[in-house]
Amino acid sequence: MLLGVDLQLLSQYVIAGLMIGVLYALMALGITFIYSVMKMINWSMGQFYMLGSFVQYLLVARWLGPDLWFVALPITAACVFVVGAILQLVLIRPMFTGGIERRDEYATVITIALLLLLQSLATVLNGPDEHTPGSHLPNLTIGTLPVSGATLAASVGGIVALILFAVLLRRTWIGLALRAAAQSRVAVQTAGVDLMRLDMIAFGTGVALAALAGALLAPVYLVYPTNGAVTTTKGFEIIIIGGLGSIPGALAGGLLLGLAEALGSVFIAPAYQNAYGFVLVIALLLVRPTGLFGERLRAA
Amino acid sequence: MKATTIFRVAVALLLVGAGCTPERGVGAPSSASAGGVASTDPITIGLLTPLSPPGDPAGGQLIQRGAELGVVYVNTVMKGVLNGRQVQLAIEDDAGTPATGAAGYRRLVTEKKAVTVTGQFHSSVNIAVNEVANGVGVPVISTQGSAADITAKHYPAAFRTHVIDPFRASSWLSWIQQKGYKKIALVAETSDYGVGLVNETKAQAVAGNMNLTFDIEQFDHASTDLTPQLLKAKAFGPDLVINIGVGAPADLMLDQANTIGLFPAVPMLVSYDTPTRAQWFQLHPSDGVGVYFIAYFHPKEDLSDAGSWLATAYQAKYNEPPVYGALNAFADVIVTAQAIQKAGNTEPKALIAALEDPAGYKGWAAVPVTFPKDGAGAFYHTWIPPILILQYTQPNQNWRDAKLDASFSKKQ
Amino acid sequence: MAAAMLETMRLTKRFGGLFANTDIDLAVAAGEIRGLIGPNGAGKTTFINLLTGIEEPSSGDIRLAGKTLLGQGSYARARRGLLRTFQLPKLFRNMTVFENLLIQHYACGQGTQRDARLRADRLLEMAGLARLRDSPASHLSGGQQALLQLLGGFMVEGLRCYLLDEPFAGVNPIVKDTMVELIHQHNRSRGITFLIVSHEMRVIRQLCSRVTVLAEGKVLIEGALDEVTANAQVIDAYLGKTWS
Repeated sequence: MLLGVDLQLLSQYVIAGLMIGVLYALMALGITFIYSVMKMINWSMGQFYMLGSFVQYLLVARWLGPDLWFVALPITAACVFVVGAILQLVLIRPMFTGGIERRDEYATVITIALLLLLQSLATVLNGPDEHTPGSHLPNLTIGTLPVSGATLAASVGGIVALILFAVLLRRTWIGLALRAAAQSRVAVQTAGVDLMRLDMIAFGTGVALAALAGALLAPVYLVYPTNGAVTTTKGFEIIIIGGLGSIPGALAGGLLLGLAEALGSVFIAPAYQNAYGFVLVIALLLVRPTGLFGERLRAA
Repeated sequence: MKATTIFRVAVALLLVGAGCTPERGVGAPSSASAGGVASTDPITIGLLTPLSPPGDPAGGQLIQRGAELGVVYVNTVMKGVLNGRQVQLAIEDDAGTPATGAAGYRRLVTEKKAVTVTGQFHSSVNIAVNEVANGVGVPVISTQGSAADITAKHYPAAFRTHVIDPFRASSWLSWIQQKGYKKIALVAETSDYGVGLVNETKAQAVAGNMNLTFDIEQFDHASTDLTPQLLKAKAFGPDLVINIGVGAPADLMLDQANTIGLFPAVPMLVSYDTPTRAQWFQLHPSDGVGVYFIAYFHPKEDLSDAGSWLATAYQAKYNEPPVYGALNAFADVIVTAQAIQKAGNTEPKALIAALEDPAGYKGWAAVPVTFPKDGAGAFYHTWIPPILILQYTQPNQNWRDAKLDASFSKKQ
Repeated sequence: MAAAMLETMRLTKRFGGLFANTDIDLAVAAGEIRGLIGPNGAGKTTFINLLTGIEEPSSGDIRLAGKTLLGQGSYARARRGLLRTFQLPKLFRNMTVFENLLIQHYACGQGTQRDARLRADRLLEMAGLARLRDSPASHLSGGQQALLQLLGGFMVEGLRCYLLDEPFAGVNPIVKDTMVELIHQHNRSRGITFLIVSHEMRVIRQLCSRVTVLAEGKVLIEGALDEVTANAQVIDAYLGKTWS
């Protein structure tokens, strides 16, 4: 026993918390990545999570079958990448090419309007049904915690996605350009990089990460129009915890949040699970307002 | 410049699209009569139901389906009301928010001239709307609001066709007694529905000296991860888990309970009739069997002729049998039509008096719908269908073939 | 006379009621190293910003090798061969010295990636920064950062005109000499045109055959540095007397 709590129960909670923390981190990574390159916050991230879950469901249910879930994943990511890039091109790029003053306000208005639009569209088109792509993966036990095969696959898939993303960023030329743009939009533009195209790629990549989280969790948390709400909130909590614009911050923040929720649930009560994140957020804001890894925002 | 023009058009479309919540009107085309109401004008029934977050759009959509078919029934089978006048539906989205619901009610009554407003799903919204209705006078017939306060205040304009928490709790407590369960885990969402049921269950168990012990686990309706709650419930070692979630949480709870080995080792009772939906065994191909659940009419029992009409029409249109929300919404619409016929006009006071008629009206069930004026406490103006507890014994079973474990009805 | 690589015609920039640049006519010949000097607040940095597209002119024209640059964004001008450095070096601080040069190739370089890597290493060698190749740019001293920023432009094969905004500010003499040497080399071997904004008269004398003096947003005078600095009006402008 530890502080009156059964050690087995504690270990179960911690494992569950860390596993889900990986997927939170994926969401947060999408948000922070878009911010770091475009210096704007995409408030509609949860809708892309939802979109990813629907695309994955359709691919698996209609054509590929649950055994090929991992084949459907990159297709889902690619589809949502394209959707995101087009939306960025039509709705957000004009903010950056002159003629639109007050860019930050526009970004907020546009992405919130996008949130509402995608939500309404999904509700009307889908109706009151939930779906699942299904999973043939067997349940197993990690430590003392029984987990569904799909949950483990989601966590592993999340880790793979994070690693691939790190490789993309560190080892490819486009990753080089994206990192440079994150550090100075002016310098990278003056150097001759097509920043508008880069923004499109950044946005598409960010929402594809959210879509991947949705696709991985589709057999676990089901597919329905409002399934993106909670992950969005968690994503933004992680940004505050880890620091806006920081990739290691998103990872650390995701795991920390998963852990905080697990520990809070087991030591206090699971009823307030969603609240423990906020407690962590407030604590961070008091102690280190820029987040664990965040930098102070410098002008240009 | 061309780019900014495209952008401005796109923004405008986006904002318009975002502002449009999913609504449609159904029925005869509306006549824009500013002045007096002609005697052939269609009569409007208001539908105030959640169609967007933070409300539960799935709940609202099912209600909307029933209401729309109710309008079709009134216009085609009943041949309209008051000498052939058609009825039509005006829909407002309450978004699960009391203030939005109150504003929606006012719009339905003042702009759309609705003669009754029905479709309520969220108790918190329902209560706020009834406050407004108490002043305005146009009756509200709650379709799926379960909190006691909806009718316990005895407002003349407040009506309800739905099971109330006290009755649901007493039903399953009786069943628990029959089964001999002693340790009960209640895993409930923190909505009015969940909280109300937990409180009622505990209170009635104590009042009835049932000697039960409870483990209460709660979660937010929007949560997707219920494993922490279920692990705690499992550690409690219950004889029964009652699944008090609405919509996605009910399904997630079953899946996650199955994963951690809580179900089927420990039986689970789902608190409402979502397992009767066609999606049940699609979502739970391997773990949907063995679950106990509630239904609101005997599977082998005849529905009323109106109810049978609805079942056929709904099945044809949506490929599954009608769920409770749709059934009730259908009944709310056709009961309104019948009350208008009896009253001979659409004045609020006359309608209220007509609705209170002890003879009752045809609904979807074999028993008629009555709204007792002398109902005590929350039973005032409330029609309560029977509660049946069924169990799936085979995979992919049709709910009508499920095993009937118990049935309870409230004599009115 | 050599054809003009960089020209401005009556270039003007207003910020509200303030005229930062007024009717500036400038012509820099291909292969020339021109100095741009003047007291603080003369509008030199604004002028550079107009040339590179960070600011839009209120009126007037800018031409590179005879073709107008109006309507072209910064990155398009860079691809046409017009690059610049900033007074406060705009480097990618969390990336390595080597990566900072590679970005320049990604942006508007021609040739293979392998060639780009070789060129970057060669440049670092020439500048004496080879041992810092894999250090983050933030670890460099101020002078080394200025040097690295300068190297960035030289990565681009298509570089035609290089605008340097106070490249020697706060740089120690040894690094300064290295920078001067690099500028001379690239000017001679590749025919690159330079426009250098600086207060450092000694270096300007080493590099520039002609200078343009800017004061209060207008061109005051052009000529060899010694002529220009002996001019009474120029002295007045620097000492703060009003010039009409």
